[in-house]
Amino acid sequence: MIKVYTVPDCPWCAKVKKYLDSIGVEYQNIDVEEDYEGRQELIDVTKQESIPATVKDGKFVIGFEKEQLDDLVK
Amino acid sequence: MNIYDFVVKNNMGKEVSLSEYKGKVLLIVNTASKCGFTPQFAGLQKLYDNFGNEKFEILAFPCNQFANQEPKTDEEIKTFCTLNYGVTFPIFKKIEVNGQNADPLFVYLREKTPGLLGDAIKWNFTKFLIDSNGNVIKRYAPSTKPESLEAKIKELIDQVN
Repeated sequence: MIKVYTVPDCPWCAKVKKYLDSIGVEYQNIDVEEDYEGRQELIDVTKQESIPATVKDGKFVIGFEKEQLDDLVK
Repeated sequence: MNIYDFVVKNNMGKEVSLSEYKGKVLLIVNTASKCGFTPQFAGLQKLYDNFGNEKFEILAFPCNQFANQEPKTDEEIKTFCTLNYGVTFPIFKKIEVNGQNADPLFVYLREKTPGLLGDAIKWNFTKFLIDSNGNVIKRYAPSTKPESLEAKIKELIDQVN
């Protein structure tokens, strides 16, 4: 299960989601602006507060970094 | 009505009464979106580092209403946004500062500091300086550098018992 932590007005979040869509990767989007449990989960898992954060099996990529995302989701 | 009557929400959605800040000099700022650490944030953090939060507090309220007008200059290098902006002063829940859905605190701040062109807030990083008795002392323009408020803040802090 891949989770992507985002907020609505973050262009990099939109790019990550669009990229994952384009390579056919399924994920759960968690809007941490409204979902406070999700926000706490982001902090617990990644120990920081930057977004987008793409998380899979405890590993994560912060930001829109194509190569790192490819490594994470493959 | 005074500033300590207002209740705002922190970034975890919890209600915070401004009466918690009674007796402190306050700098209330509407901040830009979460993407790109602008020099204004650095300047505000510097003020916070200098004055500490015993007699002083910076209260930052993210606002999206100027998002489309935001310059995109040196922000393109980063590929992420941040919820805490890399600063240590409190960031509150996103609000609106102008229009029908404007947060009551900002309506109050605007009304207390009308300008020649009306009281609407013109841009991100408008700063409202409040003394330790809750009086709204002055509104500073977005272009005013946080560093240039240092003397005035110090003066107000020195008045705190």
